[in-house]
Amino acid sequence: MYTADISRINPACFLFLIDQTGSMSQRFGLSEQTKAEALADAVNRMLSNLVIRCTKEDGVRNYFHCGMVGFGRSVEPLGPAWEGALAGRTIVPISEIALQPLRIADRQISVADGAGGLQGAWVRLPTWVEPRAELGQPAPGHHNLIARACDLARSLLEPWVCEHPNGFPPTVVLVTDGGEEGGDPVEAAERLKNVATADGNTLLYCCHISAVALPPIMFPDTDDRLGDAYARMLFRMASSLPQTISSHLRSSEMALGESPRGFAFNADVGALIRFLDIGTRVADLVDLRPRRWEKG
Amino acid sequence: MSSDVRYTEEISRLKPSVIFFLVDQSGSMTDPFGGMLEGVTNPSKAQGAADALNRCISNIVIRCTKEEGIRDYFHVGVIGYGATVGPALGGPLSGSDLVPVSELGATPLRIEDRVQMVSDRAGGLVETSIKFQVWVDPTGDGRTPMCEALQACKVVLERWVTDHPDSYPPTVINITDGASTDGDPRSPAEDLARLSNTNGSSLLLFNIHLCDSRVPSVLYPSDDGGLTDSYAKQLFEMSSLLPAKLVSEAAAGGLPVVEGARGFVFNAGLENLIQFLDIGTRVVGMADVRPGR
Repeated sequence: MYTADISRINPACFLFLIDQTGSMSQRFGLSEQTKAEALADAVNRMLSNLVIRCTKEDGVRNYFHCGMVGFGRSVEPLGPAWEGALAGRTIVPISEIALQPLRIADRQISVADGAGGLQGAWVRLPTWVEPRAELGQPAPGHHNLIARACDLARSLLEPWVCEHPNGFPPTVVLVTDGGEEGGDPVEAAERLKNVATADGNTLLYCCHISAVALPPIMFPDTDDRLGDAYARMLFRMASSLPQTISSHLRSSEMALGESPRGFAFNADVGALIRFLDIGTRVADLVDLRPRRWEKG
Repeated sequence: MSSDVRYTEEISRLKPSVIFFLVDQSGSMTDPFGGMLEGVTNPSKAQGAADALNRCISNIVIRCTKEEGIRDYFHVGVIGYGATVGPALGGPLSGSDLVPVSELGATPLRIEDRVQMVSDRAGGLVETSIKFQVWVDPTGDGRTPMCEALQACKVVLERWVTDHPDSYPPTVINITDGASTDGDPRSPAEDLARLSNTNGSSLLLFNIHLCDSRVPSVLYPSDDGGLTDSYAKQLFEMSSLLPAKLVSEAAAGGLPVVEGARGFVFNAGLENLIQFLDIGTRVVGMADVRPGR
């Protein structure tokens, strides 16, 4: 299970379910950004990295397909979150994504100054999704949004696995701040995870972001130490990390328990970025270029 | 309306309070703990406890820092217990049993560079080194003389409470990974927790038991029904009730804390410890000492 090669015939599929409820317009902890801005940045940067990984002399190879679903906006509370030329599309091959960003803008980022500190540098970064979150009363139709987002994801992935029956199973990454959600999405998550290829069930990763100044809990293998009922629910929804990913992480990046779940709680900006990176780590199964974990 | 004024004392420079740590430094503390903190992966329990404690002291200093410098809203003490029992602050402060927070802020034992990944402000990560202040070094040797530690703490704080009869009472946080080896700690704990101010607010004693195994944690219980271990029951009995203000702050932070909850965690992981120190050192009347105001 979870060992299929990723190729243009059997691409990997990454589907993102992103929270766009009003609470996402709150400041993200100590950062100068809102939660929605930090999430949009992290998603755009990750897409940009996926594009770079597929870029060869002959153009962008379709090793990946990506989908973007937003939930919680006042108008159309649930639907595809692509904008611009891709608006309304669901799961899109990476070559089309590469060609159709909303815009490319100069951004100032922090880079290492070579002495342990940071300095500013300007880079050009593409944007595909904008930060979306509107404060205010939730509009009618805002109930059980995460369960409905899981059901929408399932309806998008069922035809996809029929077309790629032997490929690496789809990866779904849910990011939420837990704001206005009600209902119990665990069953919907089960239905979603049952969408399978011959190589295994759909992987569902759940990342809870929070501005609370408490340490993030990353990839726990038990919910015993999660105090919060909401956290336990997201834990139950999340898939276990495939062995290939967890053994790599264990040997190079972090201490993990026996069977860690694809779950983070109280993630801050850094933890969110790290979570998306690890959630899409199967991209490294494509033998393209030096792997990120092999640096140094 | 309730006329209970206990634990509502405003903390000021004239009426400071005390935060006191008792740290288990027995041999078993050198066993691995798991988790990750400030760039250190899978530290020993001693390292995890020292890191969490240093981070907590650093936060206390920050909370007391105003434009003109560090205000002495708190006096802080640390007693280690293991092969020996005694003050555990290192460097220029070694041997001191109670130190004003301004002095603490001015004289860390050392400042370490720790490597951390931080946001590059546009959705990526970049490696940088952060300054990590150290006041207490991790160590572990010998047995677990918890009774002696509680008694030593009482000697220090008895004096302090007499000198500060109107202050918010001292908060004592006991971090341990094993059972007391010098007798039943309930009796010296009771003696210690009897210290109180003129309002009748008693000293607060909170206990956290560290564990590296996959055993479920017991977080801030309000009764000992879920505790099977007799040693866990002892620690529960020794632990003070969380004052109402701390209950509501902890609940707001998403913790399963109800009225009647004790300042007690059994089988804690590293995240639980950091959280415990954070909650245990939040004290009422602190509205004017938050950072950035």
